[in-house]
Amino acid sequence: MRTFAFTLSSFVILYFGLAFTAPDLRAESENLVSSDTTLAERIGLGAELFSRTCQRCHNPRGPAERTDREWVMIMQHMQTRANLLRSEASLVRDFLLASNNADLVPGRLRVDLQTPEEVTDEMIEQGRLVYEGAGTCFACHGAQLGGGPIAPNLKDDQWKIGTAEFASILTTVRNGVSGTAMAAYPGGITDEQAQQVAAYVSAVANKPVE
Amino acid sequence: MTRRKTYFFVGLFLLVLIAPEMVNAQDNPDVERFFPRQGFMLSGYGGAGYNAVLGEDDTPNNFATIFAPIMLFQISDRFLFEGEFEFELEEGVTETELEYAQVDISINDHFTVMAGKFLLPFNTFSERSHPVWINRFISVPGVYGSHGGAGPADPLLPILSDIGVQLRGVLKTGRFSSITAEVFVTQGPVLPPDEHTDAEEGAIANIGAREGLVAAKSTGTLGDAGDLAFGTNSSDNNEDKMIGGRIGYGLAPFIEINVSGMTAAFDETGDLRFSALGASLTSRFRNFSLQGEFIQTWQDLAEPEEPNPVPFMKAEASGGAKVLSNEPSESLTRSGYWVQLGYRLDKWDPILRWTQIFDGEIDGEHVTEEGRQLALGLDYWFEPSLALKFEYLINLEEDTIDNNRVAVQLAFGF
Repeated sequence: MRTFAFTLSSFVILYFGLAFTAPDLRAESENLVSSDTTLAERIGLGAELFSRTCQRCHNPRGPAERTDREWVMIMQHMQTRANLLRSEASLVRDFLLASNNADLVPGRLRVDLQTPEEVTDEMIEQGRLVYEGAGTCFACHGAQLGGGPIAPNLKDDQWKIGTAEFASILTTVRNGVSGTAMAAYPGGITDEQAQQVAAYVSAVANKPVE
Repeated sequence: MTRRKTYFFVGLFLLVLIAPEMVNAQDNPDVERFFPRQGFMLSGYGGAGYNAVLGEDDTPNNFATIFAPIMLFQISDRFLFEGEFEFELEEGVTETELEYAQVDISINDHFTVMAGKFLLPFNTFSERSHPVWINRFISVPGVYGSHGGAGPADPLLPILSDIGVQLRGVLKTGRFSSITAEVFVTQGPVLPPDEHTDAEEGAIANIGAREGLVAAKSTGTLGDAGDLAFGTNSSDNNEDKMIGGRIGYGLAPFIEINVSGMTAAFDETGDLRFSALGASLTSRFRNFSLQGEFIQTWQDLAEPEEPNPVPFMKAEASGGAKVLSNEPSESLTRSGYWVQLGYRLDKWDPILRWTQIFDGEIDGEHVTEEGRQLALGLDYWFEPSLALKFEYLINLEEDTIDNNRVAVQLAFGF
């Protein structure tokens, strides 16, 4: 018992010693966000942290379940409860606020609906970049669209909300899904990006199984 | 003034020195522009359910309900006050408890100081998983003694919260991995001054390891049983505070491992100690979830000075009074673990939990019964924070086999 207590306390002391002095370890934290990080990148990182961290203990709540002011306080509370850096908690907060304020983000005004006939290969490729980047879709649905614990598979024929058609997916991306972590305009993307990502997901979902 | 008190007051003085700077520091000017500086919100959780005991046990079946409001008051973006009350009505008795009431002070990106009554960072269940909308089961694992625990044997620890100060740190080791550490100083467990021990305060039995053997009450006489109480609202009974800590590694959400320890004296003279070590694992991979904890406790037992001593103890004559000396004679060692496996199937959550509490030992001699329990559960999630939970507890020891039970609960977080 004494030996174990001594070992444990030694580790704790070593830890706090490292925390205050070791530049390499501290740099890992600082690499996550720097002064050059754009708002879109912050929102993307926040979405990934939201997806990875919250599900460790509970089902993540949808951004629309709380007001902006409440999310600010909740993330201050969760910073300690979930053992996050303060900067990480701020990233998650930014993601939640951006998701709740789609109409306030510049470029979010809806453009004319693209019909399936207007969807081009370039639009699909742009959609892939949005899916893997600013839209933060990969964080919950997986990089291969295979789904995860809190989000469904997007490439099979079992659709919980709507269908695999372009217009249906676009409606979901624009409006979100109440009571889930699926936010409207996830990651604070523009309406044009929403159409691109809908085109990409629709293209993958409708691809014949090889 | 003792050296220990001197350290304490120096620490307190330093905290007072840095506090004003912490309160005024604002490193989120964007947020400041949009929101009032201070804010308040009400959150929390609750549930309503029904427990039915099977077999020949004559315990009546009961409805039960729990309501636990959590209040958050933001003083600045580095200062947060949070508190949770818990009201539980079961078997005709309403239990109320101040689960925690603490101030969180964010010193910098890595470190946070907590002061007040907080959930102890010992393993992870107490701190993170005990709310009914987070805990996948209705009952808590049998190693814990409060919050509706229907354990297979006497619990090892209660859901732990205590009064004191805590320092928490996070260091990143990768993009989504980190090493975390917490150290805390709190009041620690005490032996209640009377025979009655308040279950709300998370008492655990200082088990009468053999007939006639109970734990020490340093100046009192032997009672029916000596119980240790954690997180009591009464003052501490000695100068020896509980010191503990936890260190862990996590790669979210795939794995998180923690090792914890704590130790404190619990009698008035500070001679008798209670210590505990713990290890925990949490893992999520695709739709699978795995969670488990191991706990081992050591509790000193005093040497009784009574005319009818337990044979293996060195008793001294004491004129017939059942008085205990303060010298620890032996230590009761207990241990146990629980492990839980779940699989998320759309809105369904089938879960399985195995709990085992080993025989308690005094000097290698078995003195308490082993307990084993299998729990089967099935949850249906209407919303991310609203679930209907079913549970079937199967006790596998002969003396508890008639205490199997089924339970249903509607649990929600708000």
